[in-house]
Amino acid sequence: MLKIPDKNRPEWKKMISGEIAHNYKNYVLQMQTTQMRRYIKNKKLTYDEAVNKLYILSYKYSRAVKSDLEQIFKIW
Amino acid sequence: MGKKLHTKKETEKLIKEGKTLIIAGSEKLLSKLPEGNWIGGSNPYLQSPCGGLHTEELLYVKDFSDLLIDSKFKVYDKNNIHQITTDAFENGIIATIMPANSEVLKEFAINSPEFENQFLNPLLGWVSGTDFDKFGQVAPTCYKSNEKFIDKAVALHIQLPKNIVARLEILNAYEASNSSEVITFEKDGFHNTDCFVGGKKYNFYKYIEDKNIETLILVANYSGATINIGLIKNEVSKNIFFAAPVFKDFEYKFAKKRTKDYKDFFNKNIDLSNIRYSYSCLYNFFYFELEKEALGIDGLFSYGEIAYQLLNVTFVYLVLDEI
Repeated sequence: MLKIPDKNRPEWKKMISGEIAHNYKNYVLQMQTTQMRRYIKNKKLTYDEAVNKLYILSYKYSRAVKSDLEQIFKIW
Repeated sequence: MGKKLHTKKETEKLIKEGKTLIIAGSEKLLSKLPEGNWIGGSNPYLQSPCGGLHTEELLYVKDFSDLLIDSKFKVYDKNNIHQITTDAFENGIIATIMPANSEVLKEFAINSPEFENQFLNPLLGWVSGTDFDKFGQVAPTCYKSNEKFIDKAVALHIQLPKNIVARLEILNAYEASNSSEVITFEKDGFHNTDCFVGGKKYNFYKYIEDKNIETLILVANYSGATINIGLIKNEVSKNIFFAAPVFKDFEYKFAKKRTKDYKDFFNKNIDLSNIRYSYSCLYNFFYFELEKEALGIDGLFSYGEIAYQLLNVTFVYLVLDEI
């Protein structure tokens, strides 16, 4: 796996809240980000829980999402 | 990639060799296959590298034997389909086939976004069907080995080696029309009599008629993924049915009318060397006249595509990355 930005970076939460309106190129992360937003809206998850799920999946697919993360996080 | 369209005799040989297979083809052929490590679904619309086929002579057979380190087969009904994601191996693939119009498919379609462990592993699959002119008259089927089901989903859970990660990607030829208003619905499901536009309620059938909507596909934006809902217009009952459920949390627009140049679009967006397994929608087969188009790939055209959830009018493919 490639190294990805630390989970404590504020960008992760902003991706879920929509403050950073990034459209992933990778399908699973498109779907998961969308679902995390629904969970937050419907109060089924906290932001910390949603960030954790997004982070785990981004780590698994670190190669596929590398260019997406570079656009969002710039450096890490 | 290896040939994937096989005769019944060739498929029997693969089964008898103990291969782990996913098979699509006509019910006539599937019903004669022997016991073995396979799941299958009825579907006579297949894809060869030279073009689409409507065939009673060939089966589309994907062999996962060389890829997996372990596997297991499961059957699910509407009461336990939610376990499909928690039954998966830690680093794996979940492959499933579900009969069109079945209760298990409906349960899956509405609830799969919230299944526990959803998205941790690629959940791929397709909806089995029949000859198009027999749809609704003949029951689609699924098979776990040579055991037939018309009301259950079948699944093959695959465990991958630690150095391989599988992911699903989609290709959608449709995009939202700029002239479409934003449509919402008040409930999740396969049928809504009414829709909402700008906060105002309309009868959805009448709205489509009054606006002269030609392309009966709704499109939603899932963080950059364009997700379709195929619409079926019933002119007798004056109702609209959805080929996949709409969700009240989403905004939809009607799709832009598409020209029929699917081959150019496909070739620009797909790297065939990456694809390990793929399937597309029967709507694409008919609308884009894919019997005449050589896309250079084996596959099938289904009555619904599964890529974590039920999709419509979409090409879905599996990619493997070495880490």
